[in-house]
Amino acid sequence: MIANGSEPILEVPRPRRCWGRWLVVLLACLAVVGALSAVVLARLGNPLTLVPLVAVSQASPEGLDAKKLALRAEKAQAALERAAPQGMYIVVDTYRNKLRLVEQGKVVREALCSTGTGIVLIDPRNKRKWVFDTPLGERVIERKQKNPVWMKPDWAFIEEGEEPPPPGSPDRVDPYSLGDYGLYMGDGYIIHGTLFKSLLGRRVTHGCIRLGDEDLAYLYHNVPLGTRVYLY
Amino acid sequence: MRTSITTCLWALACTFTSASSPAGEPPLTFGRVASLELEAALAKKPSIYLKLDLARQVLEIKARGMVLDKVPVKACQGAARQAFYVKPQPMELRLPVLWEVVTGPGDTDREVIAPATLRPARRGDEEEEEPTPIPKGTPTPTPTPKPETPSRYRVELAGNVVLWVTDRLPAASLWDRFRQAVREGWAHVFRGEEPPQEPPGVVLLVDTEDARRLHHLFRQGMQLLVVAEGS
Repeated sequence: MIANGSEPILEVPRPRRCWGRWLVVLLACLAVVGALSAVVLARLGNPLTLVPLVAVSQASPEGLDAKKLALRAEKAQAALERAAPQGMYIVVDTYRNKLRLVEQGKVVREALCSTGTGIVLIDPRNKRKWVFDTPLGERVIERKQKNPVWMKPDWAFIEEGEEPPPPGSPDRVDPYSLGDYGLYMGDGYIIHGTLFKSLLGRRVTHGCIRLGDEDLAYLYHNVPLGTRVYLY
Repeated sequence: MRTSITTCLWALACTFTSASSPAGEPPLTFGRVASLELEAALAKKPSIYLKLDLARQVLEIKARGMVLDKVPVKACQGAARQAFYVKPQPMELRLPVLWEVVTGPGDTDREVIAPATLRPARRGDEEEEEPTPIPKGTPTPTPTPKPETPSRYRVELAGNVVLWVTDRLPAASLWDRFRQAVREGWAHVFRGEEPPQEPPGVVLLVDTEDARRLHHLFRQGMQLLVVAEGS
């Protein structure tokens, strides 16, 4: 270098700083240590793994030829056919709150209904528990009643925060809530009417099935005693 | 997934003894007869039962041998807790099999009402008390929203098997499993938590709405027949 056109000045080289390189080395070391730690930690874990499902048929017992197999199948098929209901039956979908009346395999009436809330009620006095479920499974129409009267059970009072009156008390008699007709399915479960028609299609009952007036009247007049009801 | 099941079924259909069967029906194998017999036994009882057909990818809600409703199944996979470095092995399911629900969401997910005290019942002829007027300016209380039925839940089955019903498969790529394993390892080393132990299970992928409408059916005692008939 020439300063002011005079003698050249010798520049002493400044020591180069290698911070950048050290930083990279440090980060690389940290990454390696981190990765190794992660691998070690991962060996202690037990993650959920999805695997293919392979269906394997049960091995056929020895001595079972095609003829015996066909006979057993025929017997089981006949048992299934015998179990199915003949004629008219009712199907209730408790999730969608739909009731279907089926005759000879065809839906002849479909209605909006209300079913059980599934709520659990606990009596504060003795911790007795009620579950407001519409029962699942098969039931039978055991009895039909015009202008049914509801004898309010204990839970109807406890739910309102009231002490239940003694059994047989006139305060338990409610001639209005069940509507014009009642179709009794046993264990206190009834297909009946409602004062709260805007709640049809929702899960609001204590286990019974509520229907609108027209659908209830149709069922009362067309469904014979002994008709099977399938609730799911 | 579907391909693997179908391939396996095809192989089975060819391997096992088969008898002639009416047109349109699956070949009469021992497995098919066993499933018919299991179902005939279920149909004798007045209960609702479920039938999962892996070949047809459908879950049927049945009673007395007749179909009350059907739920399409998008996928059915095995699920197991395995170390992430172990190569996942396919899960063998010997069919037909009958599972019984020990505890399901229909038993546990419930709202509970428990009044603290009871007041004397109002007599039928008593006038209803006028409610106390609310002072002006009082904010209207927001009603508690009713919890929506879950679309992902776990069903415990007899024989130490778990059924997961879900509308979305859990993330299970190698990277996802590695991250989960690291999280569990961290919790074990620094918080003393043991890695979760789960019995092997089956994951059933269905639509959100379908998962919700099956929710209440999975309760104690519900029978689930699993077959692979393809009829």
